[in-house]
Amino acid sequence: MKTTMRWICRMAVGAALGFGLEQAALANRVRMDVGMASTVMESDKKQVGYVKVGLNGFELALEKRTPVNVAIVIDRSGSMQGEKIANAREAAILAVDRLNADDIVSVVAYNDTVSVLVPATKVSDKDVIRSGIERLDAGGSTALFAGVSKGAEEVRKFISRTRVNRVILVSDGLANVGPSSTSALAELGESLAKERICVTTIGLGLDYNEDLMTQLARKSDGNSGFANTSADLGRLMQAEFGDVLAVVAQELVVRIECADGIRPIRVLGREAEIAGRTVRVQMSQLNAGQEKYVLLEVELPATRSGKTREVASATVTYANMATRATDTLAGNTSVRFSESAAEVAGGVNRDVMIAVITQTAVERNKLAVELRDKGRVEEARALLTDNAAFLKGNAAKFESKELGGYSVLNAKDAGNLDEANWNRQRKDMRYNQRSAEQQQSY
Amino acid sequence: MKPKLIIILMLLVLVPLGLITWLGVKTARQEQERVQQRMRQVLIARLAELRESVRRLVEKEGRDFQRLADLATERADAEAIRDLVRGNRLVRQMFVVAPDRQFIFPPREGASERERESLLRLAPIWKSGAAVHPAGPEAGTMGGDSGWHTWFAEEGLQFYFWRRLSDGRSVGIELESAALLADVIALLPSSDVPGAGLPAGHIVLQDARNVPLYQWGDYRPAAQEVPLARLPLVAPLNAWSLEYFAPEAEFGRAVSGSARFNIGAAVGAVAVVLFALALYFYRESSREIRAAAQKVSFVNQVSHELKTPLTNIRLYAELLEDSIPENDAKTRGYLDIVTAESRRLSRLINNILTFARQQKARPVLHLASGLVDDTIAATLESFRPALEEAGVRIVFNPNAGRRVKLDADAVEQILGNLVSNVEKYAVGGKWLEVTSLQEGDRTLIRVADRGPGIPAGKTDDIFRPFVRLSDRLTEGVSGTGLGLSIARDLARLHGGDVSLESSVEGACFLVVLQTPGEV
Repeated sequence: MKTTMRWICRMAVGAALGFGLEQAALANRVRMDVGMASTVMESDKKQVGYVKVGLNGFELALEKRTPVNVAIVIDRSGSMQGEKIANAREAAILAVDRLNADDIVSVVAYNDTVSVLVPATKVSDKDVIRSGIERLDAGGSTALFAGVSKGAEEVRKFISRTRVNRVILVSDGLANVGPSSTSALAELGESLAKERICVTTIGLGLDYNEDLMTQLARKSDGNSGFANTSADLGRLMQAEFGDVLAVVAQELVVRIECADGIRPIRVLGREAEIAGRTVRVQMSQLNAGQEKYVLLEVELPATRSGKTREVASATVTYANMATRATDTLAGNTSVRFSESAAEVAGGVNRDVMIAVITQTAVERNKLAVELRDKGRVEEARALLTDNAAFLKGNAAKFESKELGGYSVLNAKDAGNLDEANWNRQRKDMRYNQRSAEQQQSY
Repeated sequence: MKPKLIIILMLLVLVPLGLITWLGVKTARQEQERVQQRMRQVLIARLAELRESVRRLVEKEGRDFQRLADLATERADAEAIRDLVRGNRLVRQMFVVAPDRQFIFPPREGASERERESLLRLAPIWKSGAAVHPAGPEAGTMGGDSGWHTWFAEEGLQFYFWRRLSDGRSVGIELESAALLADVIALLPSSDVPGAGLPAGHIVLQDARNVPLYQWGDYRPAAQEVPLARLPLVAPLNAWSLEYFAPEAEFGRAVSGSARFNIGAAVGAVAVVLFALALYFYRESSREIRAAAQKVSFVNQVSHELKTPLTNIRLYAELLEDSIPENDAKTRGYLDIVTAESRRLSRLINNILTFARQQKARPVLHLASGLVDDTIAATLESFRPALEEAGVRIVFNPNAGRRVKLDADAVEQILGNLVSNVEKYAVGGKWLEVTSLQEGDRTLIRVADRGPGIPAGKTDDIFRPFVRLSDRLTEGVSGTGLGLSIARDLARLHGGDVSLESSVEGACFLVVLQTPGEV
């Protein structure tokens, strides 16, 4: 699906080149699609429906990319000794090599205490940065909270709405100095999100706390990754920097106003504020060619057949990195009610349905983790197997490779619930859940 | 003698040395304490600086919250207040309370789930009323109309800022405590920043349960190490404190090292001097003792060798005296001299042998019934030829005629030594007066001469072995220096003593002996 989107965007760029400046300006805008899972719904029945607000990042010429302001925060505790720290060094150096003189980078390392190896600086003198990174060695405890705090402070020094402001945390262990609970780190992530700093968390090896790391990323709307071996770390860092370098829009705020009589229930997979009939979702960044969406579950009142009802109107405001302007887009969606089952079946919106099925499957996958955590292995396995079948069926129905792929993942999850594989599998599952919820680029 | 000397010398060395060391250690300790005190002050000052910077940060944030509260009351609509919450990383939730304690924000209708949750979460605060209508110690910590309220939750210290407006409404701000901590951490130094002229240290920011929140510095304190300095932060963070750890011993050493070295060097020098002196005295004295012992041992051996021929000489001289004619006065005179001189020689040998015996074991008396006067008379008789030759007049006042138990040999030796001294040193006085007296079980014998006498300062010395008086006195006179010593020892063995009595001229010795009468 992602490739399809890219293709469409490329077409749009091509069209813009052909049809003049006005078109080009349009091409440099995020595209918003507001749609219902089904455009025709059963009449005379109180029911649940799904509204999807999809946002698609436009393509941006690489030389015009948004400058970045990143802090690489590396765990240098005792467990990172040896190959791990060497790989972390190498990954950080390779990542910095992709940046240019307009970008700002800082490197922070922590164990019991925090050291700012490279204070926030323009990437004009890579040798200085490289020698700072090369001072990185390992030993001691894990003051994760302080490390992220100091990393954020480095980002804060040059924080700008025209840059991609991000903390990239690489950790392989459990936080044990300073605040170390998932809730404390989630709070920190939340407060950083308010400053437009998002935290990407990359878990390394099998000993880190995946819940803490994914919560920190989730609350700040950053990415999260899982590098099973230290060799994977390089690949993940490259992916993360690819993500950072492709940002075309920032500070995206999606507001959905539900129409009279429509009650918003919840947003699937994302942090949202629901007050009355107003739903507000914030996203940190959107990349070129990437689709991110908000999936809102609503309750629709019983409506007589033949009537068309407006369900919701959506607006999105965002900082456009290409034009340096704040754009606002608006759209709405409505649904027609019918007593004909055939009409209802024909009104299905494939794109929205795939999102609904994916997010539903993610929720069930999360539930399976909870069950497995409580030791209810068989129930968890049954749920995952069922989930895989559900996804497989829908993959065939909607001819979706994406759902097919997720079905395979769920089947694999079901097969790895035994004690020997669980630790690793749980990290994998958390990563996949997070990635699907947030439409992460990797 | 030797072990005693060693002990005394050791005492002479060790007591002053110990004293000096004690004083030195005490001084060094005081110095170190002073240094540590000063260091503590420096560390406290450093912590106070940090506390001040945190205080300024929180004060600034407090002012921001005051403005935020004003903004919240100016635009009363819910969405505007929500935007304020969204825009401030330190704000978790805001509340606007009417004078009648009803919430204006979050609104009764259309509050978000988060907002409803926060109302429940802060229920204890609404109940206590402390934060809404403040009273008590928190009242007015930021000036009369605003202040902080803090409390402990499971996640640690929680913060609430309140501001009351003139119209009776109040605004509360629930802080994102993690964000506040992150701000404080961002403000505090990291480990790569060296601590301005301070020793390698380690500073910990910790919460009320002594759990570290943030720490920095190169030094790694041990698990149970006590901090050198501790300072609580100011309100509203007063439950948190800063602790400074530093390698105390190393620091103390570094600073008072020179003082320690000086004291150590002084003690060392004194020790060397004292030991050298002690060694010198010890060697001197032991050389003297060795020399004396050699002398005694030599004389002792020689004396033994001399005793037999001397006995033979005396025996044959006496035999010869019997066999020469009565009228041959000249021969008889020569023979008397031979006899007298051989007696003198035999006394000398006896003295030496007695002394030598004393060195080995305590001699034993052989008490027998006898007359003291008889013994005195016999002794004087043996000296008579030599003394009269030198023109000395002998006066004997015998008053000890009672038969008592005595060791005649010992008494004769005592008296002989005293009279011999007169012969040697006091013939110039031409006078020897011996007076005997008996008082109960005691016999007193006074031997007086009119010679040069004993100088006042030497009255005790003369009784010590090998002590002879000034060169002037001893010039040209032979002697062993044992006579008086032996006389006193024998008298003491006999339950009495020999002492020097004060006299107008010459020397006067008083011999006291324990002579029990016969039962």
